[in-house]
Amino acid sequence: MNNYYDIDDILSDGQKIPAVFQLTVPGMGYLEHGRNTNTDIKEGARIELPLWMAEILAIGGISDELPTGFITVSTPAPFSNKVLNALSADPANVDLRGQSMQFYKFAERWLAMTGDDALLDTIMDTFKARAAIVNDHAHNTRSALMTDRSEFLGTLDDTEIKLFKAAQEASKDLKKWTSMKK
Amino acid sequence: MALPPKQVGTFIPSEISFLAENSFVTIIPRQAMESIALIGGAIPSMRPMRRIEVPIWVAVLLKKQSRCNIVPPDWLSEENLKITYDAEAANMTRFSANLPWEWVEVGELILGSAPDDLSSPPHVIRNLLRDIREVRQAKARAGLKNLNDSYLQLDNVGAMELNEIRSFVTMAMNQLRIMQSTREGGEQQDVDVEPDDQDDDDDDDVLPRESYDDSMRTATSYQDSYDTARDSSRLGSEFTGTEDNRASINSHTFAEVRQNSIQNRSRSVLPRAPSYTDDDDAEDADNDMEMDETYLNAVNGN
Repeated sequence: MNNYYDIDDILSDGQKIPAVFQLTVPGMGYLEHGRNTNTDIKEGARIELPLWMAEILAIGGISDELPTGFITVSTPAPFSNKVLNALSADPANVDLRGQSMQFYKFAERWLAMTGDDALLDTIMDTFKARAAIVNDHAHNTRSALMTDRSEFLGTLDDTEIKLFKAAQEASKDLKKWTSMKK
Repeated sequence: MALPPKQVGTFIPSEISFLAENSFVTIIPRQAMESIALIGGAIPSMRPMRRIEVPIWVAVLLKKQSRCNIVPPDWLSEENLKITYDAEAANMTRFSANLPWEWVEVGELILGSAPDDLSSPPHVIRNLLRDIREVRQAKARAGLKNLNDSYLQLDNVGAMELNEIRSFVTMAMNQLRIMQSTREGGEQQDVDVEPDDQDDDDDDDVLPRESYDDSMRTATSYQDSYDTARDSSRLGSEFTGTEDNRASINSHTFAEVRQNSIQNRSRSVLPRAPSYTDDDDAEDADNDMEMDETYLNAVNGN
């Protein structure tokens, strides 16, 4: 699923996930404190790890002494209940970009890890509802930019921006062709 | 490969229009001309005032030289367009079957090249065509609200209209498909998950294989998919054809159907989005292999 050459996949790989270390890691304290120290990461320390690292540490290292793996992860902020409630209330009014620039890509990766079907349903519904609005705006750019709803365009995540561009290009090409002299 | 990204996944309107120029139209020649044998079929010999059918591009060319008059197709008459418009406006959930697959392009071509051959004033026809397009656009827009991860049914939609929404729809559906594939349990098999996706990538590939393949495939299958879509569109009604015919573009309502033949359908309806890789039928797989070989040969300098 993950494409090595896709810049969006690379960016979504770097999204932060809150993690709790289940064991003490010697000499890696600078990850926690953000400065050059020689301390250890203590057992129970809370650190935000990038997705690619969290994925490996959470799954790898599961053994009899350490049934939880090296770390346990908790739900990242963009998929917290607060955001999800807002999304089920009105998908169009949530600032997805403020949650995460790669909201849907991140969601894919997070869902692939956790398999949370309720979360998946909410996100799919959000995507469908917002895609329809994105399409409307794309075919009607001028009025979209002039009304208050242009705020909406500022809340699109990267996937939605691509959708917007695709729809807008198509509409623009067609207008160009129609007005062309044949 | 040097195509701009948006053209890899879809046509531009002028390409659609170019393809439509191959459809036939009746002309009334004004002078005699001998038959011309062309690879795509012979152009019959012409005698003045004897009606013949020729491809639109020939008709336009001859019209420009004042060597013929074009007989506009029946659906392009004022009465028929009015009937079509009323039918479109009366039923907001389906597209009417009165118009041919390439109606937007043919309408524009004839209005552009032979406005004096129309039975009604050109602006009347033009306005009617525009009205019809707007009604149909509204329907397509409403249909997009029913997007799902696997299937979108749009019967009797025209080539140009389909092309307008194609890039948006393929991208959106692809995104939904990928998200859907993370669902756990039994539903997973419905969805095209390809775990060996990355393994396909040879380590010494200079380019991502996926993008190479897709651009090739898109280029070679354009005419095919166009023809398939057109043929089935001519069949005209939903669920009358074989499974394959039903699979393509030919539906009228936006409806969800059984998921087991989804892959055929979505493939023939919509050229895939660039990142969409699924190759489980033999034909596709064959093509892939051929292309891989060609590609590898090229890379190795053979």
